[in-house]
Amino acid sequence: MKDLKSLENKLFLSYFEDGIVDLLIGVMFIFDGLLMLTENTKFVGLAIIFTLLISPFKKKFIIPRIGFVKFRVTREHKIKKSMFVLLIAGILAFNIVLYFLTAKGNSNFLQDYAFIFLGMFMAMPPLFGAFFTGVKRFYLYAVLIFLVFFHENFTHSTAPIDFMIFGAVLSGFGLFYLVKFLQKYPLPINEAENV
Amino acid sequence: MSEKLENSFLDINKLIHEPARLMILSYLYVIESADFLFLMRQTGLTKGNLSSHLSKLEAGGFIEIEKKFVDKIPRTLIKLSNNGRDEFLNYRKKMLELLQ
Repeated sequence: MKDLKSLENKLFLSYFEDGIVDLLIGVMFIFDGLLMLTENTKFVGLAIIFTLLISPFKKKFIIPRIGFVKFRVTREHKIKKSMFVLLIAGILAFNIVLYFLTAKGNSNFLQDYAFIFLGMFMAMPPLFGAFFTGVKRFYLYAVLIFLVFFHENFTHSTAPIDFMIFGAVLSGFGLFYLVKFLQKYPLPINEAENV
Repeated sequence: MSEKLENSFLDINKLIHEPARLMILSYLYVIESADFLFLMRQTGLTKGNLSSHLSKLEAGGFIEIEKKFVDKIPRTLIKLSNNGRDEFLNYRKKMLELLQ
């Protein structure tokens, strides 16, 4: 059934062709950078709003162009299970890292390389995302996130700029994929759904 | 060619054994359901062509078509019937046996 499996993967990947996730998460990182730079907490709200926009944006602009598909229960269960495992692993890893970084009598090693550990933790979601969805560019994002924190660990001052550069790169990729998607799938002239 | 083999070739379901319909069934086999537009985009068939093949598949009991409104917009949902799923698997098995 390898051939049918690859067909299923092809259909699943078609839902990431639009670059919306990249674009909106990129903008979220730009707002995070602005927050750190200006200490204006309004950017937290804006960052959250942009993350929450992914689903309604897809519904409003993408589904009318590409159509609607419901994947089989096994595939949907796999996605939900992966997300749950990822969330639990993320929370655990974050707490472990925080514990080691703040514990008394801690070695200087952990404190000296705090941002590198944080970078490893922050690179996990795109890494797992790439693994479970098969979207190769998510691996690149994982590497870039790690590099942002790696760089910050040694400069201790450029985090906001690094965040904004990373956000801009992500948004750039997102825009590129979105334009390609819009060209490939124009809005149907007649309502194809009526057929 | 042995008589048994000849009969096996003649046994092939002709409704499935048409490239466009086979493509539609393959797509529907790997998902739960899809709307008309999604199938049109993925298969690359024209609206009229896809509509005609879907009608034949529905008449043959291979697929189920449900028309409903989502946010006041009409949506035609297409899914493989249980019979269609079994027939698709039988066809696949038979073709593999014959061409091996």
